[in-house]
Amino acid sequence: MKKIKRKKNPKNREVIEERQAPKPPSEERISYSQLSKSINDNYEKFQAFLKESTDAVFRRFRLGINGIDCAIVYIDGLTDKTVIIESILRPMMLTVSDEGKDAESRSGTDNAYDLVLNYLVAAAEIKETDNLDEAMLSVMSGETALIIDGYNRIILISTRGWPVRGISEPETESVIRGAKEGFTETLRINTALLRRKCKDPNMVVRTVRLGRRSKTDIAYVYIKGITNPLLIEELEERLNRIDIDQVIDSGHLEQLIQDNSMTTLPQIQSTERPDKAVANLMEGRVVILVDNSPFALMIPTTFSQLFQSPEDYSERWIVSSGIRALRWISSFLAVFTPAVYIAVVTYHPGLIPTRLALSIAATRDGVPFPSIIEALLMETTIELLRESGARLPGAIGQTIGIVGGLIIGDAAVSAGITSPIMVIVVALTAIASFVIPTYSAAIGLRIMRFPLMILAGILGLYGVMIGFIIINIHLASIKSFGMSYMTPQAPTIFQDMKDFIIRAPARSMKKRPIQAYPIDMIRMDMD
Amino acid sequence: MKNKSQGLSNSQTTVIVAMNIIGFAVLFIPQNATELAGVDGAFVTLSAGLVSMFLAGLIVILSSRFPNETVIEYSQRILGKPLGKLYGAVIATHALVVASHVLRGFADAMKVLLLPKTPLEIIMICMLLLCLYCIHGGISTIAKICEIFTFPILSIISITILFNLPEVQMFRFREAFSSGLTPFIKGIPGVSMAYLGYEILFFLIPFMKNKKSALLSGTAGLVLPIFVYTGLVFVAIGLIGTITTSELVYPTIHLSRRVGTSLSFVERFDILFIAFWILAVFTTVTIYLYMSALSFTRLIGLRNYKPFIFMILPVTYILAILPQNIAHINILTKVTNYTGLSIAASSIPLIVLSVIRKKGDGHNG
Repeated sequence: MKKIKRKKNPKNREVIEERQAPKPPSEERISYSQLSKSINDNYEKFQAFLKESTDAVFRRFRLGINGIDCAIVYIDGLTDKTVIIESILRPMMLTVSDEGKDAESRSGTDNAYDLVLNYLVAAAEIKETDNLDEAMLSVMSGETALIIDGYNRIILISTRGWPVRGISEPETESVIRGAKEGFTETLRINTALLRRKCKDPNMVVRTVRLGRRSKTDIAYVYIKGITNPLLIEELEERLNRIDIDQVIDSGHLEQLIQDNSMTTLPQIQSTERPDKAVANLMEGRVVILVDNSPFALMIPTTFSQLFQSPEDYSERWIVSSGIRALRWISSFLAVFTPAVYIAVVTYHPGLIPTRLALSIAATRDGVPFPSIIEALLMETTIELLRESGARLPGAIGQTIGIVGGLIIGDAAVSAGITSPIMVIVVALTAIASFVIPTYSAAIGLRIMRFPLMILAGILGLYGVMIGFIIINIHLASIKSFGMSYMTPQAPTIFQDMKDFIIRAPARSMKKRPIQAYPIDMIRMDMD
Repeated sequence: MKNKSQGLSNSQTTVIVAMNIIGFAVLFIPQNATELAGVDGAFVTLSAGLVSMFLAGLIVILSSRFPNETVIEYSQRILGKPLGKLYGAVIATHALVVASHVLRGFADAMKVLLLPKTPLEIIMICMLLLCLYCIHGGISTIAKICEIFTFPILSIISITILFNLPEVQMFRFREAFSSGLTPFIKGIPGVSMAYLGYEILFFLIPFMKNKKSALLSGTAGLVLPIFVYTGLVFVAIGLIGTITTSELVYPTIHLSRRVGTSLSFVERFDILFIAFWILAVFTTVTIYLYMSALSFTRLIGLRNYKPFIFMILPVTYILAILPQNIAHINILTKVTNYTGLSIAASSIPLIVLSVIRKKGDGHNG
């Protein structure tokens, strides 16, 4: 990364140090600096950065025992003030009595720094640093920096505490039977949710900071002994390549590390559900958590995974298989129904039974547009409705749905803009696309039907087949972290077919799917 | 991440061979078989399939002697440089001509059966562009596409066969073998031309992951076509009769149309059949074009075949548009069939020569 290179360059460092000190920090300045022994110097260094920010709190005080100058710096709102008062200020300022003397004698030194570190600060998590950069970053993420006069080290006390959203039911992936908790915006809560579901100490949570300015914490979680080390290597390499000022969300990170940008489909699956994430960990995948994002990423991802819901494994296999098959059928319906309708009505009316063909012709009687225009019009309208319903607050969204449904279903037909059959086709398409459990896959598939409709309008069923072939070539050519997207269908892996269109009985899935190249294949050792 | 499973799996090899064979010939195989062998058509088709399987096996045996080379390279080692290059050029041109021929036949059929008002040129250009897209992904994409399309193609043909099966009248087979074995044996070479497409085995071995099982997986590729072709011929004879079948242009379409009457869900099943048959033709044309591009590249001694696709595509298009009428096309059919069969059969002398000249299989160098 560029920044590290710049740091290592000694010339640059000199320049930066010259520009340091009381001058107001310009935006481009790189905040590398060694701390000095004088509290005033250190204090000023912090102030140079933070004095314009109103949420930065500086507090100078004297140590109760020997009156040494001390100061704490923290950001208001990111810290828990009772912790600061109870674990830092109170013991340090008020310990004047025998306790302190006792402590001093016990430590066998009059080194104030050691005394504070070992006897006075009663916090659970403490770090030390002599680097202003590190101290700054810690302060910005909610820790309190404690400066003591005469020492060029800073004690960083973990006092993090900010308002968090509680764990709530995931909205995008709701299940009827299954866990109801979802990830939140706080990274630590999310890792804790994973830990609670898997107590294996081999579950490794590693963290990197990405974003030159945002310093977003990104944790990737995997299970040592199942996950293929090559996969982790590849992920680390891709993460290292990122040099950006802010990682907005896991969806943003997804696009920075994915294989192929020229596609509408997600090559990295995201989920709001810890149970799904842990199930994926157990299959040898890596789960990536991004701070401030309630969506976890899972790599590698195959197309068939986008049709799986955690509920499939809670219900009996026959029922789940039926539902799984329904999802696949509905994905075909969502993509191909309008195109096939256009092709059949325009070019091959012979395909449909005569009576139906006649009634379609009768309903299309007064419609002024060719069916391709009619279909594009109606499909665009339903997309408008869907998008406006998604953006509006709940109650109004429902109103929009009712109004839109009424207008489109009834008024458009009676006004002669469209035929009732077209309304059925459009409604069927919309409903079918909502069956797909992964939202990003559903929108990715839905958008494909527009080019397909145009192809069908030009070349009839041949056009539909051309679209079908193009989609399949595209799906066959993309990969997700080295794994073919169409696995287990292409390349065909019969073992993984157990969890594909049907979901085989739980006892029959004795091995992990090889879709993530796990190094330990055995999942079950029972009859 | 480096994919450790690079290379074609066994099932992929099988499917590539099968999908290359099943293509244009599906439409007229009953006509072909009954014309050549009369009532014995179904048996002849079966036997021709077995003969083709034997030839495919020979090709695999020959290619396995040179596990890391395609026919273009090892033919030069067996036959010597000039002769080998000539042989390679014949194969490359053959693949190109077959691709354009299939393309033309496809476009003609489409015009007759699906899109009467669409110009041939549009139909062909669309198909060529699709092939370009697919070949650009390399052999692994082609293999995956074959795997994906196997299911729809097989299901549509199986439905055609199975729904017609109950109506097969066995009395139509009464005269089987009535004229002795001579017409039966005479019919085999003609019908086995419909099975052409396994020549791709000349090229597949170096790409395979598990080269030892090449013989099994390669010849298994003919099981599906044998099943499909024999079934179609059997149903056509049993349903339409020998004489009528031999006079229809696309008897399979006739068969699929009958499905519509028993299936009240769609009126004309043949339209659906044609739609799925497009997939079969697509895989055939793609694999032949790939074969041709690969051969030309290797002939010149280059590795990257992708620029060659762009040179080959216009040639294919021109060759496909050249024939003026059905007579020209029929001549071309004969030419491609005979060269195809001779290329397939050429594996026998090549094996003999390579054994005599001690080339390949441990005698490398």
